[in-house]
Amino acid sequence: MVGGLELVSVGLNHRTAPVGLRERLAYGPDRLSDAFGELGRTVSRETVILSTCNRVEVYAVVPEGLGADGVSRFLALNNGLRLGSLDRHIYAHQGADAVGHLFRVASSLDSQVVGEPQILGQVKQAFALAREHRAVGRLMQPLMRRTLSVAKRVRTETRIGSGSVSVGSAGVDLATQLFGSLKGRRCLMIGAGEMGRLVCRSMLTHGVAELLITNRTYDRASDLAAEFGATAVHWDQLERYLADVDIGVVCTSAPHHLLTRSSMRSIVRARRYRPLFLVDLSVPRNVAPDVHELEGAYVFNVDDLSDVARQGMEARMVEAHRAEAMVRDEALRCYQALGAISAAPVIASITRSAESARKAELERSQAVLEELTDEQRAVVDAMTRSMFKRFLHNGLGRARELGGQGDEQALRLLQEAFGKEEDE
Amino acid sequence: MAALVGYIGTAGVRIIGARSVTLGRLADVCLWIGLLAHFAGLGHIAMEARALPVHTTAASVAFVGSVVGLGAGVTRLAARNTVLSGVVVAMAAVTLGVSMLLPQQTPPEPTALATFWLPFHVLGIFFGMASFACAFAVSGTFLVVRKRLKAKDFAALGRLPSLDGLDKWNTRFVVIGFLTLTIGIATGGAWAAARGGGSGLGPTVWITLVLWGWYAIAVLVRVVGQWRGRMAALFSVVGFSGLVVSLSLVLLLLQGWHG
Repeated sequence: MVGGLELVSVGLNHRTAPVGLRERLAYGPDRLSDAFGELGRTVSRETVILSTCNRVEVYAVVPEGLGADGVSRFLALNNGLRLGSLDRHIYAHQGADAVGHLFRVASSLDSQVVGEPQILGQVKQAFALAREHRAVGRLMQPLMRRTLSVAKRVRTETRIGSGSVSVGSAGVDLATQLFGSLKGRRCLMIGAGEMGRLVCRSMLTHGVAELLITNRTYDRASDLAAEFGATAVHWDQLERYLADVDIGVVCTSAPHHLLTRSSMRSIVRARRYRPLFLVDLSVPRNVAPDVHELEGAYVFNVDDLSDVARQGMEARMVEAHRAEAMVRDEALRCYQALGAISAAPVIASITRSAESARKAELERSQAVLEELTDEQRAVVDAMTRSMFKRFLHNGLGRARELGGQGDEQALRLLQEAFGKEEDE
Repeated sequence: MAALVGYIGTAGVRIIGARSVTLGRLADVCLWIGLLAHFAGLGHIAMEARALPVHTTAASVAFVGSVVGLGAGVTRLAARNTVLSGVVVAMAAVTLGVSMLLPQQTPPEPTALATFWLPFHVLGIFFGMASFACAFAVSGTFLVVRKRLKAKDFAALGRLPSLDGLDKWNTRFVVIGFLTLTIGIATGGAWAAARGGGSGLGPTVWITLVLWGWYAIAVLVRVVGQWRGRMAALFSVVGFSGLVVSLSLVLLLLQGWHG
C-alpha cells in the first residue's frame, strides 16, 4: 500500500492467451489515448500499458481496496468482450508482486525466448508513451526508471542474453567462431529450403556482404535472389563459386550427397585451405559427412545447429536462475522505496507544522528579542531551528520506515499527532 | 617477481575466462603493471651492467619475455577477444619464469662486445625470437580451437578467438619475427666483420640460420602462396619448439650464446 494507493499489474501473455485474443486486446498507438483517458477516469491514478505481440499488460496505481478488478473489467469492456470472459486468461499482481512481475518482464525472464533483448526496448517505449499521455506521476515514474535500470543490471551482470537459441543464430555463432566477424564475407545459398532462408537471413543481418543463390531451377534462384536482394548464379557453376565464397548454406531436397569428399578436395585445395563454412540443413544430408575431415572445410548439419541452440538455451536458463534472485531483491527494495514516497506528504506536513510553531514562539518573544543585536538574533534563530530539527529527526525517520512498510494507519497517527496544527 | 605475478594473474583470468567485468579490468591492470615491472627490472639490470640487458643468458631470456609481454599488450589493444592476449601473456610468464630459473652468470667485459652493430644484432635476434614465441602461442591456440570445431565441441563457442583471427595474428608475428631476425642476422655479420671475424660459424649461428630458412619458407608459403590454416600453425609450433630445444642444448653445452 502506498499512501492510500496500490500498485497492480493485470494482463495476459503468450502462455495464458492464444494469439487471437492477444491481437484483439493489443493497444496500438491509435487506441492508447482513449485507453489512458478511460483508465484515468474510472480506476487508475497512474498507468503504463505494455502491448507487444506476446503480451498486453496494464500497470496501474489504483485506490486502495479496489484491487485489480477495475483494470480487468476495463480490459474486457474496452475490447468489446463480456465481463468474465477474460478470467481464464488473465493474471493479476499486486504490491511488491506487481513490481517483481514488471522487473521480470523487462529483464526478459518472462519472455517466450528467455533473454531476448527486444522487451527492454518495448518497456522503454511503453513508459515513454505513458509519459507523453501524462499518465505517469510520482509513483510510476520512479518505478519505471528503476525497472529500466534493473533490467540493464540483469543484462550486464548475468549472461542471460548470450549464446544462440535459434537455428539461425546458431549458424551465425558457428560462422563467427570461424571468421570472427561476418562483415565483408560472401555466402552462397544452395537450394531454396525454408531453413536455409532462415539462416541466410540471419547471416545478412550480421553483416554478410554478398549473398549468392543457386538452385537447379534458375528461375527459382532468381525469384529468391529478388526477395533477398541477392545474386542468382547458375547451378552448373556451383563448384566455381564454392571455391570463392566463405560460407555455403545447403538446403535442397536432393536425396543424395551433392558435395562429396572427392569433389570438395579440389575445392579446398583451390581455396589454399582458406576456411569454408558449410551448413547442411538438408534431410537427407546433401554434404557427405567426411567432407568435415578435409583441411579448411567445416561442415555442420541441422543437428549440430540444434545442439548449439540447445546449449545456448541451457546456459540462459542457468543465468535466468541467477537473475530471478537479483530481481526478487530489487523488487522488494523498490517497493519499500515507493512506500517511503508515500510518507513524503506526512513528513512535509509535520515539518511545516513545526516551523510554524517555531515562528509563533519567536513572535511571542519579540519584545525580548528586539533588545538583542542582529548577530544575537541570528544565533537564536539558528538555535531554535536546530532544536526543532533534532526533536523531529527520529520521528521523521520513523515516518519514512512506516511508509516503506506500507503502514498507512501508523502514518496517519503520526500526522495527527505532529501535523495537526497545519491541517487545521 | 611483480612482473611474473602480473602476467600469471592476467593469463589466469583471461584463459579460464572469468566473466566478471571487474576481474577483466583487474586482469588488464595486472598486465600493464606486469609489463611496467618487467621493463623496470630490465632497465635496472642494464644500468648495473652498463649495457643492453642481454649480457647473460638469464637476462637475454628475460629480455625476450619482455618483448613477448609487449606482444600481449598489443593483442590486448588490437584484438577483441581477450583469450588471445591471455595465451600470449602466458607465454611471457613462461619465458620470464625460465629466465628466473637460469643461473646468474658473471657478465663479460662490456668493451669486448661494444661495436656499432651489436645493439642492432641482439635486438634483431631477440625481437625475432620473441615474435616467434608469440606466433607459437597463437598457433597452439589455433590448433586447439580447430580441434574443438572439428570435434563439434561447442562448449566454449564464442569465448575462444576465431580461427581466422588466430591465423592472421600468426601471420603478423611470423612476418615481424622474420624481418627482425633478418636484420639481426645481417647486423650480426657486420658485427663479426667489425670484430675482425675469424671465429667461424658457431652452433648458435647455425641454429639461427636454420631458423631463418624455416621461417622464410613459412613466410613464402603463407604470404606469397596464401596457404593458411593448420599448416601455417604447425610451421610456427614446430619452428619455435625446434628453436627452444636446440638453443637449450647448445646453451647447456657452451654456457653462452657464442661459446
